[in-house]
Amino acid sequence: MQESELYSRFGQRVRQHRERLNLNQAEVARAVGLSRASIANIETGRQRTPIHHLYRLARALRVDVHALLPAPSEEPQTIIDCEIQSAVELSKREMEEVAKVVGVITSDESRGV
Amino acid sequence: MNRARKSQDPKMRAQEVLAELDVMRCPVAVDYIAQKKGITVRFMPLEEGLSGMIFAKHTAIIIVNSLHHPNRQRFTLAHELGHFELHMKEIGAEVHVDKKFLAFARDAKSSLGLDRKEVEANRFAGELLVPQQLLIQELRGRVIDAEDEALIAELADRFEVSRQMMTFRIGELVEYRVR
Repeated sequence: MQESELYSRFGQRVRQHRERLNLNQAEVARAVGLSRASIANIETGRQRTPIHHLYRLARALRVDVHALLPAPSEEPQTIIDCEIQSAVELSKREMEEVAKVVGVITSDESRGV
Repeated sequence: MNRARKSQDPKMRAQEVLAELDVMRCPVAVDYIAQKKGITVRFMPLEEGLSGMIFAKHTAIIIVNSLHHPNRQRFTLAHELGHFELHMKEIGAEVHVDKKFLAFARDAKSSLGLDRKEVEANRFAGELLVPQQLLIQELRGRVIDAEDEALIAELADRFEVSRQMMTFRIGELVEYRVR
């Protein structure tokens, strides 16, 4: 799952809880101190919510902050941003590990470690 | 060093490296060779199926799976050194990843050229870790039998390689001498 997917899942949860309370986007927006458009964007995952807004949203929707957060199994996977070649096919896990290791070492190198 | 004189034959290249760095003693100091070549080597825990990898940044970087047997780690490093000596142009900006090296076979076929690279890196590693010249010295005055398990075990321990590798190298030597 990519980062954008994480935010759209978060948005889906916001929407579910809003609808459960029979509130419209404008009402939630007023309670949170955001514009109606912001709430609409959060619900579709187009806007990334800062933590202090997360707490306000949870209060407005009368749920615990955790209820709005996607489950750990839904967290984004490592983005594979290097070209990998191998004579034997790699599993997804292996590719992710390679990307992680290369990322760590590359950032160590650029810091001169 | 004159670049034009570097051999593209994996075995000859390994012999050149051994001579250049004066490391023709067993067990061959592979990490010293990497260090002298200016390569950054990291031993890190990786997924079981991954042996190692090589990629180029400011220096060449080799990563070896530290969870594997020490002799296997030596082999992985020697194999990656083979890629360093022979294939860096082909690897380019990619990360070349090596899984388990199942065969030391010299004639595997491939259309992609990846298998060819692996075969070459294995041949390089074989000659680097068990140089033919040293193996001949070790075997002088002995009855050479590629199925003599005690002999294989003793030599594998001396060269710090797997028994599988030693069996292969002795077999190759016998073949070479018959020719």
